[in-house]
Amino acid sequence: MNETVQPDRVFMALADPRRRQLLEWLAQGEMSVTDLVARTGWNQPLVSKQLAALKAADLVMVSQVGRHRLYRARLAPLQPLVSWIDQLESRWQNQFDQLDAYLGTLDDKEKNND
Amino acid sequence: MTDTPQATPAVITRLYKAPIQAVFDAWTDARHLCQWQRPNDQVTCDYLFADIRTGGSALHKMVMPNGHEMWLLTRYLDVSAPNRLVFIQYESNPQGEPLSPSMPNWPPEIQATVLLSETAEGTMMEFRWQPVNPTAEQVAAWEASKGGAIGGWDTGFVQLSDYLTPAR
Repeated sequence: MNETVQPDRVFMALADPRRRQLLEWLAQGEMSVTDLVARTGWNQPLVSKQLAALKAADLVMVSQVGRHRLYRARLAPLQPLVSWIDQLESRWQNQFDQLDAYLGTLDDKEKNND
Repeated sequence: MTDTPQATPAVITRLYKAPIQAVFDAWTDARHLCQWQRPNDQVTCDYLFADIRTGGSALHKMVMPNGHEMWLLTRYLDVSAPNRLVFIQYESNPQGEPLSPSMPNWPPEIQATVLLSETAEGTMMEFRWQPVNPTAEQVAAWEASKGGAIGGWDTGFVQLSDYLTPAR
C-alpha cells in the first residue's frame, strides 16, 4: 500500500463533513454505493463523488465481489494525526499528575510549620 | 461552505485536594510552575522571565538529560485569580520567538483555558484546549484525532479507536 499520500490530501479529504460521515459508515464494514445511498439518503452521483475524493486520499479501499464493488475505510493515513494529539494529551495528563503530587508536598510543609 | 469552521475543545477534568488559591498559584508563580511542569526530575527547568498576568508572557527553558534544550514561550491572554487562566504556549527559540509547528497543517496555536472551582471535595480543574482560528483542514484533522478516540465524530468509532490504538 502506498503510505506516502500527502498529509494535505488527507486533510482536504476530511475537511468536508459529508466525507467524514461516509468514512464513519465505512469504518463499520464494507458497503456498496447502493448501501451508502440507502444509509445517507443522498443521491448516487453525490455518494460516488465523495467516495472518489476519499479514495484519492487513500482513505478507502475497494474490492470487487462478483458484480459488486465494495468500499471499506482505510484508516492508516490518520495515524500520525492521532499520535500527535495523543502525545499532547499525555503530556498534559502527566503534568497534572505531577501537579497533584506537588500540591501534596505544599500541604505537608504547611502541616510541618504548624 | 462559508461558515468559519470551529474546533471543539478537548477537555481534561481533575480534582485536586488543595485550596483553589494554591492551585491557581501553582499555575501562575514561576517558582511553582517548574516544580510540576517538567517531564521528570532529570529535566532542569528555568524561567528567564515570567510576567504572568493578563497580556503578559513568560519564557522558560527545559534541558533534557541528553543536553537537548527546549524553549517555551507562554502568552497569557487572561489571568483572573483565583479561577481563570487562558494562555497560548509556543515552542520557541532562546530569544522567545515562536518556531513554526513541526507538522505541516497543524494548528500553529493551541489555546489552553484553566477553569478552577471550589467543591466540597477540593478544587475542580477543567482544562480545555483547542486550536486558534483553524482552517477547515485543521479542524478536520483536529476532530479526527482529538482525544485518541476520534472524539469529535458521532457514531461507530469504537472500531476506529481500537484500530488506531496500538496493541499493548
